[in-house]
Amino acid sequence: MSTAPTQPLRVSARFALIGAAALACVLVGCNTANTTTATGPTNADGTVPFKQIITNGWLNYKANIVSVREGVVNGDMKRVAVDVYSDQLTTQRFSYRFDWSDAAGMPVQSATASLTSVTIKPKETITLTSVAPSPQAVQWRLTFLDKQY
Amino acid sequence: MNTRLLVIAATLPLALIGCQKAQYVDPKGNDLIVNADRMNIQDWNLLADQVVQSMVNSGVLARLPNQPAGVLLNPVINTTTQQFDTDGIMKKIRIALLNTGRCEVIMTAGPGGRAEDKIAQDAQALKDFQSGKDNQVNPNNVPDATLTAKLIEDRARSGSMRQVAYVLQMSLTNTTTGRAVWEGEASVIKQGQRSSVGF
Repeated sequence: MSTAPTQPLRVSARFALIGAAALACVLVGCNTANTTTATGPTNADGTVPFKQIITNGWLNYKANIVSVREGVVNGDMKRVAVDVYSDQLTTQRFSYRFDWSDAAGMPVQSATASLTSVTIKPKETITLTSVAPSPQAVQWRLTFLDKQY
Repeated sequence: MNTRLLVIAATLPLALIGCQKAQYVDPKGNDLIVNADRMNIQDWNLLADQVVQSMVNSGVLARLPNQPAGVLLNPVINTTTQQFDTDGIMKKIRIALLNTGRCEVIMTAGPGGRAEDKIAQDAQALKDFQSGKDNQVNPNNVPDATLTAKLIEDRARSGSMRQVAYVLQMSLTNTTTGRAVWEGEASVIKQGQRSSVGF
């Protein structure tokens, strides 16, 4: 009865497991989201401090937020404009969606909210805008995704 | 142990890809089917969102008379090659307008006297009769503003690549002045091989 070379096989099994996980990752798409929220009140020039949660570094290179401005329209409805810069040397695409919530942080549903696909040229800055779906919606969250339709 | 790891390694991709035939998807996500040659449900969202954002951003809603202003919507003129219920788009726009708190949709009157809600129209007529106002036009049924909408389509082809564009054009008219106070246009353009499907 021969003894099996347990150590090499264990290592190869580990590699196989990692490979399988990587393959699965590619097949199902490792498309994690980057999200941005405002962190403070509006400054005198209309800009607001913001916080980005980056889970997808590649996406951040082609959709990097450089400034955020907020304002009010129709007397009581908040609106936001976000400047997005691409550091890439080729034209890129990504998707984004604004989600709104009230002062208590409860989501305010919008009938028209959807993931929007945009194209950004090399070294270009584009502005994404959104208006609150109702006067009760005062907080927003911007989500970026790399996969577009 | 090693065999078990190998089995897991072999089955993990299959498990993650999934063998199921049907599943629920997020209607606001990016897993929806995209047809290159026809309108999809996410196109309704995109068109409605663009015109609503434009209308609200213009600030015109706050300037309409009699806040919240009574609005009547004309039927959508659909000149695309596709037959579908245009309420798929217009309902989203109505919901968005109502949520602003600046508009209310009139349900008891309509083009040619055809109310959208016949029961409400009868109930209103009864109340007018009881209050002795049945011989007068109910001012609540007179719109402060009206919306018109037209959906058009453009198709182009280069080799096997096809492109289809859907354009939604809308106008908001102040009925006191009879003038359009806002006009907006939204478009969705898709490219792909014939009948190709994407996600």
